[in-house]
Amino acid sequence: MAGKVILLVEDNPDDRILTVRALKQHNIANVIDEVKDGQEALDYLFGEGQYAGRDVAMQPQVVLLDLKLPKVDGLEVLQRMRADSRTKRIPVVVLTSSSEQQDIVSSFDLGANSYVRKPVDFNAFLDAAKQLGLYWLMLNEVPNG
Amino acid sequence: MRKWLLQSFFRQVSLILVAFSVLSISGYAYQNYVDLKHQWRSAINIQILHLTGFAALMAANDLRYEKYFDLWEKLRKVQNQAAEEEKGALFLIKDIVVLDNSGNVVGSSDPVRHPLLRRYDGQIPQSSGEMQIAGSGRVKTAAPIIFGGERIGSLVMAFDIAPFGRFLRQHLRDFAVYLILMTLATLLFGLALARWITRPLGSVRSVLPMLGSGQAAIPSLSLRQDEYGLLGRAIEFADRRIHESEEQIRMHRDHLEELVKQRTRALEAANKELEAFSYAVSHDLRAPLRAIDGFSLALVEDYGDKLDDAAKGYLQRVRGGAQKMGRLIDDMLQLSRVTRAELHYAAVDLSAMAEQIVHDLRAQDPHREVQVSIAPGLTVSGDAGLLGILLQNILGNAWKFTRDAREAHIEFDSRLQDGEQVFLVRDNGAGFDMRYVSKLFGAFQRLHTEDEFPGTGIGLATVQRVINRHGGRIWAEGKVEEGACFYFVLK
Repeated sequence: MAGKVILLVEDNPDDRILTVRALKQHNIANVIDEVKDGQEALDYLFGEGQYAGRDVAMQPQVVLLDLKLPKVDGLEVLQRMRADSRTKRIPVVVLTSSSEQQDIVSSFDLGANSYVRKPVDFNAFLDAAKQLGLYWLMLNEVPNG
Repeated sequence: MRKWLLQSFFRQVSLILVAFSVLSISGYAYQNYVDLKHQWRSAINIQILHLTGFAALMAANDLRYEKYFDLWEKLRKVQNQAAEEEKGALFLIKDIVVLDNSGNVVGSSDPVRHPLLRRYDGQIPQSSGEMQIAGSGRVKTAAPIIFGGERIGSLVMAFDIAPFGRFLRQHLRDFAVYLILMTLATLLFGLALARWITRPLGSVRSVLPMLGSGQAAIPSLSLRQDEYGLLGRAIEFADRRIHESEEQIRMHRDHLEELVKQRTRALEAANKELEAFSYAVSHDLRAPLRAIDGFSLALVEDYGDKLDDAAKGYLQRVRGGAQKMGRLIDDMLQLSRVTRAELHYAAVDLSAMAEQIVHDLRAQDPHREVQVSIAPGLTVSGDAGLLGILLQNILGNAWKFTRDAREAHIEFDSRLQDGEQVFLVRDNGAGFDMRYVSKLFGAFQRLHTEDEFPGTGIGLATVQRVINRHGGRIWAEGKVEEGACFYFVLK
């Protein structure tokens, strides 16, 4: 499953655990890389800081991005991703904790592909994945056996 | 003329003064003329009677002794003497005739006109009397000629009083000239007087537009000691008072504007804080709830086999509590959003909106069988977002409270009432007791227990705010177990 990585950008450990659990429980067996703030997410994506030397040619298939993050917030991460040719086309699903109109509108303005409310409502996430053409997520849904 | 007069106080005063003086002068002049005429006429009368009497006395002797030549001589002398005094005289002696008792002429100053020993051919006035000969300017007088106590004849004198008429006419002409001169004089005087009286009014008028400037000064008036002085000083006083009041009002207004600015800034700050607070609520308050709910679920799903039913029940209650609080937060945020959202007016198709909402409700609750009738084409001008929230809440309530109804029915329609379009949403659900209708739209006010129908008590408060934002009205009717009907009007 090399390369089929989901990057989860989430500062709240509870939400991280619940999100990973929801994905696993629905048989998504992808590698889920977790980062805890916006700066770490940027370092990960661009191979800098603690991720120096990471092969940036290997980018995640989808980024689950929380908006309210320490250091660099989610909207800025999104903006920087869309400004860089290496990350421009990576699908981004924004995680929101509410339906605050402003967040959703800003996310779409900055190039988010979809949004789901936290903790990941799995069905909504699948809908988003379908729309994004991430068929592999659904393929993985079928148990191996 | 009337308008011309009413427009100017100066004209009115002038006219009154001139009319008064012309009337009084001409009245006086006329009275004077009548008196004069009368007095002079009396004087002339006495004179000519005396003259006649005197002539009769003079003629008596000659008549008695029949000295007719002497008589003629004397008569002529009298007439000539009178002719010599003609200049300045008011009457002339035309002729003098002496008659005997039988009416024959026995003496005449003009024998050609009245030949002797002929009957007198003219009229004879009564003795010691006078008579006017109409249209001739002539007057005749007669006097008895007495000798030794016995009447021996009469003397008749004819006078020409035309000079008196000329004198009167001259007098009248003088009066007329005098009257015209006096009228001109009073006219000039009257105009000057009127001008003198009304000119101060002009200065009042010129200063009135300055009232309130604090600089209205009318020294020409206010320095006077008379009533105009009072007026002038009153106007200057009023001007100062108005000026002071305006200054005060200006100060108050400036102060108010400053106050409004301060309050606006405070309000903006409070709004920002509120937004920040809402944001924090929506993000931070929710995170622990998610953890409580999520991990409770994880416990049930992952360790269900190790928990007994009581433990599972408790966990279910934990989840229920967390979810309820989540809904409360959602509803409160919606309420605050409704309050501060900017309104964007547009034509909104409420019918289509209601169809969509009912469609969503059916999708969420597929086992419910609810008959919904929505009148087509109900359009209104308003904010689509807020009106969506409004219908969502009202229709959501109708949906919720018809849960236990047999053959649940929900209706969305409108009707015209007192010229207004009144929208209504009617259901045949649980309804409510009209005694509590006043509590219906208050935040956190509920008419049902959580066990009966779950809810936060914020929905109708939100609806009320949407209505308020649109300047409309909402009211409700209901009956327990029979249903409720919500009416609303949008401006």
